[in-house]
Amino acid sequence: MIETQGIIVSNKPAAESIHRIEVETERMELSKPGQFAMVGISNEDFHLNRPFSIYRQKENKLTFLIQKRGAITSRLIKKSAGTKLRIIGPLGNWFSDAPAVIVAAGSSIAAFGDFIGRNNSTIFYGAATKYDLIDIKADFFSTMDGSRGFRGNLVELFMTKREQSDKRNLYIAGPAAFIKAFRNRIDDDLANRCCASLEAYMGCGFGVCLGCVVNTKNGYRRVCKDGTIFPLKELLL
Amino acid sequence: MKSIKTAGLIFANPFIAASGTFGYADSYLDFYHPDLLGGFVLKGISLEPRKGNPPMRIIETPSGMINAIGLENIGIERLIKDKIPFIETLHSVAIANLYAETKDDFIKLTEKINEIKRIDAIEINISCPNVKSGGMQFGVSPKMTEYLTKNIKKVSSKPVIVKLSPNVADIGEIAKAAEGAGADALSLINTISAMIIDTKTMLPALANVTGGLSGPAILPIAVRMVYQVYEAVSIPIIGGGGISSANDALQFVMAGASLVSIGTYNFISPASIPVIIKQFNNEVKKTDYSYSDLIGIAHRQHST
Repeated sequence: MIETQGIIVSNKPAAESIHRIEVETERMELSKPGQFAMVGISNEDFHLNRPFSIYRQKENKLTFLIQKRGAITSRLIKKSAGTKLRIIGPLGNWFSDAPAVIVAAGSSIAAFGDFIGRNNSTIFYGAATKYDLIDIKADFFSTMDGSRGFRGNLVELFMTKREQSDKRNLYIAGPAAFIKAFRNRIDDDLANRCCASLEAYMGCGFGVCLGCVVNTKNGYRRVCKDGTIFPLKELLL
Repeated sequence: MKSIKTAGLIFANPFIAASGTFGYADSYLDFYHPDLLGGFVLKGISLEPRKGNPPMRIIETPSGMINAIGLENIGIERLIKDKIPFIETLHSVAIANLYAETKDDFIKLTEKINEIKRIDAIEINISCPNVKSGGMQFGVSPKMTEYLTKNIKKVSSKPVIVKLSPNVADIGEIAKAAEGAGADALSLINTISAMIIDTKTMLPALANVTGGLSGPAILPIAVRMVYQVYEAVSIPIIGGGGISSANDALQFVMAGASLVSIGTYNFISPASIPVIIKQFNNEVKKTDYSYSDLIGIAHRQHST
């Protein structure tokens, strides 16, 4: 991991309240699937950096999908090309890039950029409406209002197609409530080969502040450093 | 800059990485080598491992953050086994931060630390606002501060630094109590007791309800307290609270700190301390004063 300066090279809406922001960094190690970076706005008042999945990376150029959540993300999605950012990364553990079945809720599709359109993976992708989906090629879509694909929630869509999940790794990402709902709905066989990438409010992002812990069968674990990816069965959500 | 001799220790420069923001000295190797620091204070350690508080443990606030980690740590035995071997390879001043709930446990912990050659000094944490017993309970009373410091001084083979709580009416009085009991130096400030309420859930934002405020928001309070403590005692002061630039650090030195500590800013810009050190050296040069003349200069300038 390194700390470096990044400059926004493009910032475009990718869906309702999600922006695709490309950042050219001075230097960056190559990230692995599912890793993230801490991002802060340089030259602005004190704020904690915010964690974002590295959606795509080409050499020093990183692409983030940033959803408007609070004060800092609201500011970030309004920043124009040329804005200087503080970038710390790549951070966290990573997914094996072997073919996998992926279940991504909302903006958490950002954790799976490396799997989209490649290597025999099957992608389940859901959001509230079609306007909340970014434009990607997924195998199965769900929306709560039925405006695209399956009408209803993503967990239910996955259950109707669970034969798709054969023996490949199963990866999920989304808010804690989604991961909990998913775990409660699936059987042990699925749970045993499922890994979940967690979202968390982080202080540092590199394992020092101990602010982002999650309760697991092995005690409190740091989402940023011990995760963000955990075997689903270890999590006590 | 010349090295700084204070509290019986020699620091290559005045910058210390603060306890709880520097792990066990092995977390920032990707950013810079710890030998670039004057010293570092290890994450607070207790006799037994501590699980810490349940999440949510941190929350951002205007110009700062509140934490209630609850002194999660690996315990002294694992510190010795897993962390000291790396710390032995370092050259900057290594300070252990000790936490216990009772005097007897503080004594036991101090005795354990005596056996670790590479630890140069101990900082006793009588000011953590996020634990149910011990911590700040000790540090808000001059009598308890004196009692604990005296007993720890009796057994410690290393210099003893007392970390003061800002959550008191008169910090000068606590500082005097620590000095009277033989403290070799004082470190201030620990975080300020604070809380945030989430108006959507109508609940305190942190699981522990209250936490400790740090970051630039507390800097003016910390500068004021260093200024007051400098007038109250003559032992050296390690000053800090919200430092994120060379100019911030200089304020603490001018208020009376011999050394300065950087804490929360390590989370924001983990590579920053060596950069700040360079800028600081330039700032000092620009003043036409020696570093030692700058310590507490605001008092002398004010009285002339």
